[in-house]
Amino acid sequence: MSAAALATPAAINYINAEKGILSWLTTTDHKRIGILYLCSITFFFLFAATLGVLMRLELLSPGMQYMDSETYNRILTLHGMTMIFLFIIPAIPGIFGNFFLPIMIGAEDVSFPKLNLASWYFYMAGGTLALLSVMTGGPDTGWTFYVPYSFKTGANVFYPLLAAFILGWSSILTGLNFLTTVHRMRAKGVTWGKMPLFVWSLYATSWVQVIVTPVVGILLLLVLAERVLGVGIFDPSKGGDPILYQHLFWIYSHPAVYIMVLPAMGVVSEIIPTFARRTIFGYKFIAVSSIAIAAIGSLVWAHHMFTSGMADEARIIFSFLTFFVAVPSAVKIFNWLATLYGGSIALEPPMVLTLAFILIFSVGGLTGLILGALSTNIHLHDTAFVVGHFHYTMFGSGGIMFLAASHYWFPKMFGRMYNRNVAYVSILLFVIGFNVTYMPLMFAGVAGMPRRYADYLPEFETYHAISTTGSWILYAGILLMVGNLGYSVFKGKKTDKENPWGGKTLEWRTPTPPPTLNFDGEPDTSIGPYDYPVEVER
Amino acid sequence: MSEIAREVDSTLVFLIAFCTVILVGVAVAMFAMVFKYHRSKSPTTKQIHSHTGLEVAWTVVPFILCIGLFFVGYEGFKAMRTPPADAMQITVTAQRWFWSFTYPDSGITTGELTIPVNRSVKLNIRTDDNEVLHSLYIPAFRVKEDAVPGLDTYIWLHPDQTGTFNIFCAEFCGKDHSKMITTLHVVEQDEYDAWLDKQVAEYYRPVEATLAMSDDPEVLAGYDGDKLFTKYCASCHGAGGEGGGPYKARDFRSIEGWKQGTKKTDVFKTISTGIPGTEMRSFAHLPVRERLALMRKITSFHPDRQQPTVEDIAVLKAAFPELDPTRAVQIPKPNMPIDEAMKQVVEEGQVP
Repeated sequence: MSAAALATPAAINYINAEKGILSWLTTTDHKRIGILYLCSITFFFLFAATLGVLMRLELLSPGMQYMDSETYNRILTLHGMTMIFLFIIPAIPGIFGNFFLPIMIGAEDVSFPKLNLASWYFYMAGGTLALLSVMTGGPDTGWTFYVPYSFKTGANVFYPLLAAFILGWSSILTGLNFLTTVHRMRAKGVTWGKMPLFVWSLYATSWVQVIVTPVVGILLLLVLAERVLGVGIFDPSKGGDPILYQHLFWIYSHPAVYIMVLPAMGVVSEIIPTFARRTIFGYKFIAVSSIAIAAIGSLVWAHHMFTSGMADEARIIFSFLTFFVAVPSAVKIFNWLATLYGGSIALEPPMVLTLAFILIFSVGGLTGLILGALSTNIHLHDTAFVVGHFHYTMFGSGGIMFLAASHYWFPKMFGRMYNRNVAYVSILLFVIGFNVTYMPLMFAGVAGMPRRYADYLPEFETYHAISTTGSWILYAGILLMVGNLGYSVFKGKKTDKENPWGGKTLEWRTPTPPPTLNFDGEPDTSIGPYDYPVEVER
Repeated sequence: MSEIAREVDSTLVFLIAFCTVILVGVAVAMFAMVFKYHRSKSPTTKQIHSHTGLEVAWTVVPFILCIGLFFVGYEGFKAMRTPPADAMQITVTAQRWFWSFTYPDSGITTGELTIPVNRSVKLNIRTDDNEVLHSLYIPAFRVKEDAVPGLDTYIWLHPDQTGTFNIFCAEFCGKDHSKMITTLHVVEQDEYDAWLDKQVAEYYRPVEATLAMSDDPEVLAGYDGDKLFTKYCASCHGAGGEGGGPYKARDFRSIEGWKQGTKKTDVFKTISTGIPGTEMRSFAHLPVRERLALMRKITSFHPDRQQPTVEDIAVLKAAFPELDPTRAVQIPKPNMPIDEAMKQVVEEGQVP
């Protein structure tokens, strides 16, 4: 990088370029939209986490202590819905994808800046509807909205279904924007083979979003039609088929798992090279495996339905396919480990969180094998084991890497630095709390504890008591972490260091915080995203 | 336990061991490298872009392992889905929020499942068309299958030890999903026979209608109306009969606006036939004394109601043989799975 660029930090950047709340709400700057997402997504994350703590509190001991079972079911539904549709699906693409994807490919903005803002408004409309549904009692169907329950329940599911539908639009528009941006806006020199892996992962994610989200959109409309008009597509008393619903639901919702995981994997592929000062091992393989996961991941949906009454032959085929999707994920883990080899590793907070991700996500992925195998799945399906498994995979990937990405890109985004010691303490609480919360659930599942139970038999008390204790530690870790970052946005130590961590991707070669048009002059694309100098051959 | 459950366990132990080995491998590799290549010890780096041999190896080996794991799971599954032809068939009906088990031949229905040891039992799972999804889960036998309206499903067991086990609902079904729990009793064959005889006798023991509509406690000796109410009614009508809940159930403390009347005879009829077009279902499969105990409990919430006339009782007696000792009691069989019914139709249609 040129010495001149280092010497002249931009006085005018995207934050102070315009003033006033209205300038934020009408902005078309992808960075500002990223910040809008950051604020709203953090709010919904804390909201849903609090609901999770309430659920765990009720489950501390057998019997109903703090709420009745209907309230519990509503909290369970809102927790799942909010975490999935309002936090984990949009978190990394919405915040860090918006903020950094254009910068990383040397572009001034995304292809459709206005559409980009529109998708944030769609997000907010969906989020507001979801919150409104709380005021009308809230849905009690679980986030899966399985029929016939979802069109039979007396609870209000109209708002949440509409909310999910609108959030689907937000997701599709963001995906479309990223696809076009990656295809059309790359700066000269940023070839497909020189694209950062975070961009590759968002590219793969965007295809999934654009292709499968319409399926769930149509499905939600059909459920509304079933409720309001009684059309009989899913209603068995009119000759409809409830299992058809499950197929359509998982045709979206299984690939949606990869919408949550792939961007997280992309962040890992950025953080590890930066803090190991090493070129990523097997760039091509990681890039291609993102696409492979997206493709194979679209063919395994019915592994959520091994006890649904679906034909045995279909169960066998889907179990077989399910095992293949494990391969590209495993390959990525091996590639990241190989990237550590021969590096010079600095254990900064983002790196520590990423290493925690590798172990936690491995637990999630490996327990997925236990669930993918047919005979064990029959026993473990719909038990607490599955709850443990998907928190290890979803929260363990999308959630942890959202936090890691926040710590990684924080100085670039805000031109300030957070307190590192507080960050370490919060990470420690988080990792301990995480495992103490979710590991006992897996054991409870093996012992036969069904999921979505407001109450349980006394024989399961030990597992639940440990898990609830863990949830307090986890919650404390999250609050401390978010508090530390939130405080530092306004009061953190100022920094205008262009490249505090020594990264090689383009965002580290622009002023901190970046100017409105992302670069002062043309971006320097002569260095590839992982071109670390060979310092010494040992 | 059963042979299949033991096989699932050994598969589970194998898979957990397999996963643990890999997890420990990943963890050791990671910590070793973080330790060895920490910046304090390793200020310099070497840049390795890729290694085709290594990458092909760690793609192909997991690929083969995964195919192997698929077959491990498939083997156990095959046995789980292949009940022997001579298995005893019991029909399981899932309803919000309780289970009923209908036995072959006698046709009686119970709320807990009792089966003989060392015998294969196929549980045909069904639910009504206006029901939601449920899932029959017996953790001790490692089996589970959804109850789907309009579809017949099944699981089967071959218990080789006696004992008492939990039966859960594993598919979210609303308010009392976590209370949809009952018990499986696996007993010796002679104990089973004795139990069945007793149940059948109870089913075929009618109560004279006038006596049934009286308050005479002797008629229902041994039947606990409170307990039955909690089991079958309280989910919707509330522990105190206050009604409301997810299906806007009748408030038993008032006698205003009852669709099918408030007299004891009306209440008995409603319990036995349900109310068409509503979530109130028929409990005709319960023995007559259980239904009478429920009737007494329900009418006790508002004792100040019109008493049935002699004509009312006569009409009721004509409609329900179980209230008429001069007629043979008929046990309704509402719980027959479609394929069983088709078999019966074919058999009945056969020309000898």
